[in-house]
Amino acid sequence: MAPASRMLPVVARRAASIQSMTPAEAQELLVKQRSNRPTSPHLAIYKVQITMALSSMHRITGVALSASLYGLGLSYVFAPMLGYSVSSTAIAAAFGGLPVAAKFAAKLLAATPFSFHAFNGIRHLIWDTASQLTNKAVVQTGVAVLGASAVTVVGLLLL
Amino acid sequence: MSALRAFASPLRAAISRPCLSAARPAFSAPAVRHLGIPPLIPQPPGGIVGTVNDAAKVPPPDKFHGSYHWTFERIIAIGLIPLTVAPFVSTTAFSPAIDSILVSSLLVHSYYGFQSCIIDYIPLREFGKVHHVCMYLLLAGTVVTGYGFYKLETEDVGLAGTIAKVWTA
Amino acid sequence: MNTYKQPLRALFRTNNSLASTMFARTLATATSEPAAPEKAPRIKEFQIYRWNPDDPSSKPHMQTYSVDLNACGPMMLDALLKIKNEQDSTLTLRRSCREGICGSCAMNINGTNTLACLCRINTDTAQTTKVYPLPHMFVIKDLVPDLTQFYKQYKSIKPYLQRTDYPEDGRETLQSIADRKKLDGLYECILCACCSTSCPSYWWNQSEYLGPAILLQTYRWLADSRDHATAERKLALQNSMSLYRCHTIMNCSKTCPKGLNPGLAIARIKKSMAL
Repeated sequence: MAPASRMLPVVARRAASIQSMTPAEAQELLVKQRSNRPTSPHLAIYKVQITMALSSMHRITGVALSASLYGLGLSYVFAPMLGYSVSSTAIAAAFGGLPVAAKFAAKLLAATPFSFHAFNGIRHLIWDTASQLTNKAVVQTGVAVLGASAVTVVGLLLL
Repeated sequence: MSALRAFASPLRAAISRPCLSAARPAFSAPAVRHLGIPPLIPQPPGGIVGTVNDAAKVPPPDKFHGSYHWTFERIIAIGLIPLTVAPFVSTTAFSPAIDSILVSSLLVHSYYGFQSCIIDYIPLREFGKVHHVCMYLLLAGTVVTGYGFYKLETEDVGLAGTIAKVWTA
Repeated sequence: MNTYKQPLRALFRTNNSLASTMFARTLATATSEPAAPEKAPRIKEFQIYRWNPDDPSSKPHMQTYSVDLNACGPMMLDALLKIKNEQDSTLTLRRSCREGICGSCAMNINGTNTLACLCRINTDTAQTTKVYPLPHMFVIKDLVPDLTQFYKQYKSIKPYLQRTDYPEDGRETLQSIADRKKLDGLYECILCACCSTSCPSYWWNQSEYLGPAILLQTYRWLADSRDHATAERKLALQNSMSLYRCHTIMNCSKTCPKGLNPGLAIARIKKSMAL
């Protein structure tokens, strides 16, 4: 008993329309087709892995720390122009006046990116010597950076 | 026996026909290429310049945007390690000279970091003048910030001193 | 009919050696026969990215297909081809060698880039497997990305031996065993583009940044003791885009289906170009 499909002759044949084109016309058509093409999904669908996660954290923390640094420097230039006086004593006094919970939160918010960026920066410098760049070492050093950062954050909060 | 089983497999496949369902239309459209920011300068369709047989264009060489830049970035970063540790371990008051070196290194390091972000996310080929404006703003901002830190160093207790004061407040 | 299968069955029972696994796979592919008739069907859902260029105004969408894993080979490519053969012939993908040497079936499976032919189906039927084309590429149709720019970039690094002179005797250019060893881990690259399209830097700047695959190939020629164009090759990388958009994210090495290390190759280029 043979499968039924084997007995059916293939009759459905689509008439292909063939158009002759000059190379220039073909190129034009290709460019037109290209302009319709969507971009495949990327950031939203790519699996979050320690490689990419720590790298984006490194950039985000770096930008945040640098922005704070610029903020401090710029406030020394612009605050007097706007009629405020800025000094380390004034900032410290303002900070000291905050409730304990707010002070703790602010310190945590400052210490965490600082510690992470510092340790991950060292990790990057080691990588730049072309070492510790195997898949295994990348994960191990990543976990080490997270651990060292956590310990340092606790240490900084106890200062 | 086995012929029967082979015959049964198309049947089984027929049972597991597709349940067609459309989901999630939220994909980026052709024009939106760059972190969701549409480019200001129209890009070639499909990102292709020339024919498929042309090699991609190699930019003119400039070591100050290449290896010199990279090496200097690393030198600053390596220098930051002892400079960052020093305030924590120094028993005496931090000297304004070393604090100034720390601040300058941090500023250069930050400048390079921001510059890298601009090149990555606001590239010249897509944003043209806006890219240049961002670069000039960054440079100006860094210089003005440097002046602010000059005041902080000369009239006040410096960066490490300020952070220490605030931290223990 | 059954007699020739007896030794095979015995093989399956005896051990899990590589040979028997390969035999099992060949058999499964050849007859597409359920392993055991009394087994309950293991219906697995696959969600696959679809976009049809013949309807350019339509948006890309995910389409769900169900496959009985008892009647399917073990690899993702088996499942995709089973769907194409039996359920929906319009599903479009590239494939050729089905053994991880051509690089055609590179795609994003369950969030990471890999070759469908080397990727086992996750047999947990409770989980849906999602299949996308390589990330942040222009899509020609369904799972087929446009690799034109990738190939143009490959061409731009002059991926061939460049010499100022050749041996006098007209024979081949020799190199020592130690020098040849330096090319191991580099020459195996099949240019499937899995690494490049896993790299966020390549996502944002693929018009100018060469990406991990092409830079691995650049290093392959920089590391070749027979090549005389080292200085020119390095000079071509002296700009902010071609090489230095690499921020050592390391998605590339993590995802390489051939187990190569493009991230390390790039770090070696940067190190050799320092100052």
